[in-house]
Amino acid sequence: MGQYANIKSKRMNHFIRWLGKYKAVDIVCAGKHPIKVESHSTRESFPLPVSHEEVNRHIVKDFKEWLAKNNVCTEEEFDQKL
Amino acid sequence: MLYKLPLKLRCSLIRKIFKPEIIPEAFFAYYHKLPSNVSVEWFRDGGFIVGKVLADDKSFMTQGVSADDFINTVNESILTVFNIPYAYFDILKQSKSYIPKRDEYERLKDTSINTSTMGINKTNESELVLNPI
Repeated sequence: MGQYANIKSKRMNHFIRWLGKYKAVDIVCAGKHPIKVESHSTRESFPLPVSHEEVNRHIVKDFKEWLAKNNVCTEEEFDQKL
Repeated sequence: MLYKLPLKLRCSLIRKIFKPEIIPEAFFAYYHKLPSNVSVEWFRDGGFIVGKVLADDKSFMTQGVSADDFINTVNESILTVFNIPYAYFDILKQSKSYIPKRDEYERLKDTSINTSTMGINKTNESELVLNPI
């Protein structure tokens, strides 16, 4: 897990807003805990738990890989914007 | 002014204003849409319980700060991934859609156990009680 660290939920929310504005994804508030990020091209969705103070590094890594796999944004963009 | 509020707060305000109706037929349709068995591989990392959820062909990760919080986030994530409308979240969770077995729950609460797997079965339809809130 070398380069990954827990991310503050507030920071993640800013990143999600950026994704929703500039990338081909739908952002849906789902339940008390997760925000759903759904790719326009593949219709795959990723539930991101942002109700806690931080998002765990394992989930950050998984989310980054999911974004790259679904052609939402590159890993470089993710590192730059988050 | 509304757009200046955080996303979560905006959504909860909108939900409070426009409370949708619960239709029993839709409830059962959504219930059947959910997978029957779910397996969760979890581990502790920092102050979190992090779990990889495998439900049908979908897999995703979620987190919780305590055993109950973790079970709640697992349930909400499953409902989210299977595109269940938010209006049905509370009623489906109230029906205890996915709850682990007692020994698995105890392992989740025991902080000396750092990693484990649990298989969660969906509540039988006969056990369901439809009590709209």
